[in-house]
Amino acid sequence: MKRFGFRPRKNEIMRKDSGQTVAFAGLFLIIFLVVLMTALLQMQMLRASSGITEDALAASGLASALIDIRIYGTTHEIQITNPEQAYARYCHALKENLGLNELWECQNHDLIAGRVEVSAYIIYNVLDDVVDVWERRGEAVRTYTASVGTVTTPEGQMVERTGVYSEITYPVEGAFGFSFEAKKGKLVEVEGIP
Amino acid sequence: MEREDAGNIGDLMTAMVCLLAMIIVMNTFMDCMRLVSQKTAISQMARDYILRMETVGYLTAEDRQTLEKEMNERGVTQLDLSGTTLEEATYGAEIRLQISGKIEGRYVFEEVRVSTAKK
Repeated sequence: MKRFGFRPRKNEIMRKDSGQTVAFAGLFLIIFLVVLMTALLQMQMLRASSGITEDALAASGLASALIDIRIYGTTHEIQITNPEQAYARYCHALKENLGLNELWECQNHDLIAGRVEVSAYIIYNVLDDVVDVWERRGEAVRTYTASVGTVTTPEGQMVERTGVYSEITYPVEGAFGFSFEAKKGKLVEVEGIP
Repeated sequence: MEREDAGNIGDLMTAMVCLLAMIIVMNTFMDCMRLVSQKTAISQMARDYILRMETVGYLTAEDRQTLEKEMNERGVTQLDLSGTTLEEATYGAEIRLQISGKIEGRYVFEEVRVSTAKK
């Protein structure tokens, strides 16, 4: 073979190798860039999703935090007197604010990938130094009374004014097949006109 | 000499294709990021306006004008506020802010905020 001159020349081999290196490096860079951009975009999406759910929680909590205006008009006490009605209002507002269907699933799967569960809905009625708590978790409801300064929300915020705390859990799916269960809680307080 | 030129052009072509692919990826990424941040800004605006609506019981004509102006500045076209509470609601009644339109004339969006009047 060597004798008939079929062996490729050294500079030809080098050129072929150099071309392959450029192609390999380019492909590697493109893949790296796509992965990096997807991850960054995913992070931005998660941040946006978190902001949107937090807004929806705050708006829905506020929608349900309706005080008894007859009591407020006579004694200036801020009380949410009908917890079941407040909870129904909250559920309705949450469904609208998050764009959920009858099965409590979000139409935009990029934000919320499945069913949204209201894991906690708590009403705190503060009267002088006492906090009346109405807590609903799933179907279970419990009520109790405690002194101001001893009651905190599940997230650890001290309860000093009448308000509503709500918490939801929902699945989130991201790029590269990862998924997790997200949890968001928010306390909204009601303040009277001075 | 011809073979050397062919090799050079081949390398150059590979590099150019890679560069072009990278530019496309970057461009797509920037577009997506911009859209996400625009959607977030619109959501934030909807939140501000539903809070205002809560205190007055509806979307006032003045607020409506400001909202339309702010949306235009954000590049929103075909703005539609159908379904929004435009008449004063009593204490505890449902109020609704429904904004729909197109971002950059292409991407359709809809923002719905529901709350109760506190006036």
